[in-house]
Amino acid sequence: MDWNGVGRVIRIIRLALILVAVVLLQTAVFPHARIFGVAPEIGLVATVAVAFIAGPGAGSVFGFAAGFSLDLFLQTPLGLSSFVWTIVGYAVGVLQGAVLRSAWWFASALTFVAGLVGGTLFVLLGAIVGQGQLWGWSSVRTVLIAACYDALLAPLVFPVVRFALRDERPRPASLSSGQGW
Amino acid sequence: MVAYRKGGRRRVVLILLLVTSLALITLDSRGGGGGLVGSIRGISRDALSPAQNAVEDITKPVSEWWSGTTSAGRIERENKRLKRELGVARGGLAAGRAARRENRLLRENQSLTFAPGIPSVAAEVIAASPGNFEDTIAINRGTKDGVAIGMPVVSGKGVIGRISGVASSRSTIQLITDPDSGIGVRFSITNTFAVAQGRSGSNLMRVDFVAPDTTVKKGELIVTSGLQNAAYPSGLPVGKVASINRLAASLDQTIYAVPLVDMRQIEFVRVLLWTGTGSAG
Repeated sequence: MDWNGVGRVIRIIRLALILVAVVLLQTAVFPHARIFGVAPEIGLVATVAVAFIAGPGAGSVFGFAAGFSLDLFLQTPLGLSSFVWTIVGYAVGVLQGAVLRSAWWFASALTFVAGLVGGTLFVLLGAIVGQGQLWGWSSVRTVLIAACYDALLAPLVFPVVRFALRDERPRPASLSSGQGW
Repeated sequence: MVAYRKGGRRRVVLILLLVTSLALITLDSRGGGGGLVGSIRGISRDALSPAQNAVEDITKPVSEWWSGTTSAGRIERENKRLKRELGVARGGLAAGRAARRENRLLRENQSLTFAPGIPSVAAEVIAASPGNFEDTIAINRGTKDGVAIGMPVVSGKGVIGRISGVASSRSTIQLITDPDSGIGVRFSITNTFAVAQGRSGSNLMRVDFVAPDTTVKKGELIVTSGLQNAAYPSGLPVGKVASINRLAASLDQTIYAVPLVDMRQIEFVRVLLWTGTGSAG
């Protein structure tokens, strides 16, 4: 296996560890750390980070894996979060291609918008597939608070994901890193 | 050309992932919580359960220590020693109070004044809901203890919900305050039947389908109806009427009830081994 292959495997292993950490945090820690009764969507934050740093391909695959893992612990239909987070991961990855330089607050702003879009899609799709209880004003409040909470966590999650995806190949200083797995 | 191919491959992957998600949603919706999807969920929950418990155990003392550390100031040695002693004494007192409270809860849970003759299994609450759009808790009993999907769950004061997901040593309870929960009830004084529905983001339940000529009083107890094919045995306490709004020009009345059990304070529960046609145990 050449250096490219090894680096790719290492990055995938690191992302898998992040995925396990995300599931543990979401199921064992954040249920006790709610703000106004709302927990953050740490998996969505990680999906946004992966998509922003590695592009739409990695973003959509990580979004699917994170959503599927979380769905296993929810009452809503299996596949609902994975569907929504796949779309969010792809969309953020596509948007990332158009961003040349980003300010320090950009990660939070992007995560907030992704949280709003992801939450809204979750409610809409959930209502379509028979989860009528999601349809209501309280869901608007929940989505809004969760998006704010996600935005607060983004500055903590982005560096971890950036570390996991960093390219350790010895390379000329003139080349930048970050695209692909 | 290469970039075009890469973009095309990404779109194919995206479509495959979305189609897979939709297939999973369909499978799960048709399976009704059981079947292949239910098995996958059960296995995953069992597999991760020890790690979840470990993380909770690890993070709980750290957060308690952190709050204690951040609130402490710079004090003199003697003052420190006295405060430490006071802290130890208070800690002992708090531990005693906590033990007495736990004892009371366990006694309440152990000696139910309702559901006589129905075998049950005691359980401890081990986790809260990980999602924002559902009202569930997890307990440390599963299929190996005889627990099955649909079984009613009570605490010392009344009904709290029913089993909605089960693994071998862990189960999920859908609380009666979950917005997707509906429970057939009966008003204890008027004997009128109705349905109590959970409400999103609220601890109150909305009581629907009340006959227009029924006069309901605030504070009136509501119990499970136990009608044919009901999900709960008859006569289990559910809640009390909290408010009644009757519009002057309308026959309809909007009734809200507050559950007898504070869903945020549940520590111990009993799963009734009752499956609708009789006890399972």
